[in-house]
Amino acid sequence: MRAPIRWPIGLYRVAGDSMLPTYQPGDTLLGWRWFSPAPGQIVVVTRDRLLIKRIVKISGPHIFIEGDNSASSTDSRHFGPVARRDVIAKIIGKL
Amino acid sequence: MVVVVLEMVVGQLHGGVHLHVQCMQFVMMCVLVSQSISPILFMFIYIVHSKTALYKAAKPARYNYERTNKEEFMKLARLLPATTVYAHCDLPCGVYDPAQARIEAESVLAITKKMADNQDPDFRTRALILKEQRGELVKHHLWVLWTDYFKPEHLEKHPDLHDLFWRATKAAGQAKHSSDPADAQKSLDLIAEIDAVFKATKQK
Repeated sequence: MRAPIRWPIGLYRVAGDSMLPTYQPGDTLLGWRWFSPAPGQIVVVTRDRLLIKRIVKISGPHIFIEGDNSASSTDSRHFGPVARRDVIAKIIGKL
Repeated sequence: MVVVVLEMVVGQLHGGVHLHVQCMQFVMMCVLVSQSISPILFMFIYIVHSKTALYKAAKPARYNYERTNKEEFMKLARLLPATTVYAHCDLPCGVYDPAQARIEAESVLAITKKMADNQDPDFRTRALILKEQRGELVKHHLWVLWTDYFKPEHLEKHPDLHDLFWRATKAAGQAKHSSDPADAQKSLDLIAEIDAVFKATKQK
């Protein structure tokens, strides 16, 4: 994984189907890295690799993320909340 | 950066180039920079794009510039290097069994036998399609076992494991290619060998 560069814009490609029907595998997305997390945003989160999920709840320093296709998603229901510093970009559009 | 600004100015002078399209170009340039792609690739992609854009800007009457440029731009953007973000289910169910591969391989064998006994072209075409599909499933199930189930400690006890899977997947491929029941039987025999190793790993 490339070291994160704090440029404002990032280009991401989706692998997997946990964000269906919002995003299909292979979709190219535009991410914005200078932002404040808020519930409802689709964000890129760094764990052992980069994940794409939706923020469902923010409770103090804890951010709960979940895939739109919850039947096929590994997210905060399994690994718990994530920290703010691990949420590196919000998705602002699909190309 | 200079190329982008020049292109924006020329585009505006010629008219027909909408400012928001140019803003999109600018955003994409930022993306290129932020993705740290090689400068040579960057120049290549951008020059190709700006040449096309300039040509079309000079002939606004013949093109729906906004639409064409947007489409081109999206096409170009999708080709750019992007960081992969995973939207996966990461929970392995832990249920593995060579029986899945065996059942599909038995289907391949049964189909080859039925094909040998039937000369109806429609039947044979249908059988061939099914055999391809089942053969692909054999390979898939073998790969899942090989890559997900078997661990280095299994390899220590069964040093020929890699070779066995190599031969089994090759045989599964051969069973797909041919209509000879002997090839399908060979694939089944190798799956039986894998099954024996699998059962050995399950014994405490």
